[in-house]
Amino acid sequence: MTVEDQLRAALRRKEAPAGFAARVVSRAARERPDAAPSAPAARPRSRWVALGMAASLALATGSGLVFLDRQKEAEARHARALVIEALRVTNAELSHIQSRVTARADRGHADHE
Amino acid sequence: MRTATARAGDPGSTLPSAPAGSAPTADDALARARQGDLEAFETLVHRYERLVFSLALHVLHDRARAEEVAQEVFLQFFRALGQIESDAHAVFWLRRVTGHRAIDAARREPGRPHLPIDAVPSLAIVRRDHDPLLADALTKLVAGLPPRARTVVVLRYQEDLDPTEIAALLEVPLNTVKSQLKRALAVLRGRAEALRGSRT
Repeated sequence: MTVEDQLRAALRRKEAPAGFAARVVSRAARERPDAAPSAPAARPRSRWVALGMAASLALATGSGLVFLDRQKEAEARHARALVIEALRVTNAELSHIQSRVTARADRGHADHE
Repeated sequence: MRTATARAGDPGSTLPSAPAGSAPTADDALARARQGDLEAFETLVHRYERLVFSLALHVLHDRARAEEVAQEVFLQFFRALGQIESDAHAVFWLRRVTGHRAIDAARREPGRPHLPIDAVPSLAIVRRDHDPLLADALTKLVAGLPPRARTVVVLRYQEDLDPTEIAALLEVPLNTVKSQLKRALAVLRGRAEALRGSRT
């Protein structure tokens, strides 16, 4: 047997350690989760949940703002009506006072003549 | 001799592959692995793991470090699947990448001096009571060669490659491969004869 034959015998291929392929595939799956057939779809689901929550929050906030806006508008309308009524009453009172002053003035002129 | 120790269907071996139709071919597995099929990738790892692990083991002479190198090689292979065209291409690619990575790892070996090729330790210092087989002694001698010469010898006698193929794989001149093989063989032959002499 030559040294070359002995080298071929000594350097023949050996079995890889048990579980070697599984360890490699596990690392590959971690590297590219999209390639893993059994990879859980947790990320897309949580993304939809987050989107839904954000939309609900926006809707609630928007509704609240609209409600507050309408309430303020109603209060403003009421205040405006009160002011108009006050002005109308004041105007009526002033007219009454003016007519009485005018009547008295007319009576004074007549007495003087 | 090589064929006597090879497993049927071993990639790169001279034995015939499994009969057609009995199992998915390596090229089928490659095509599916390229699409992200991890089961197909695992099939490929099983197919090539003996090649890659043994090459790293015979260069590094350390099972833990050999597994580490082999895992890195397969992860690099996983990333490069899109460029791998066939089973033969995969075998060439894996031999080349494993050879280069094993040389790099051997150069970083802690506490092991890189001896010049003529200073490989003699078989006479091998404790034959604990390690009596010549094959084991030769493996240790090979592990004592400088990293590149070690890889050349392993590719020559584990993978049964000729010097031209080794030069192409390691991207070194053909004459460098030939001279490294010639010197390594001369040293190993001398040590083997010394061992035989010491046994008689």
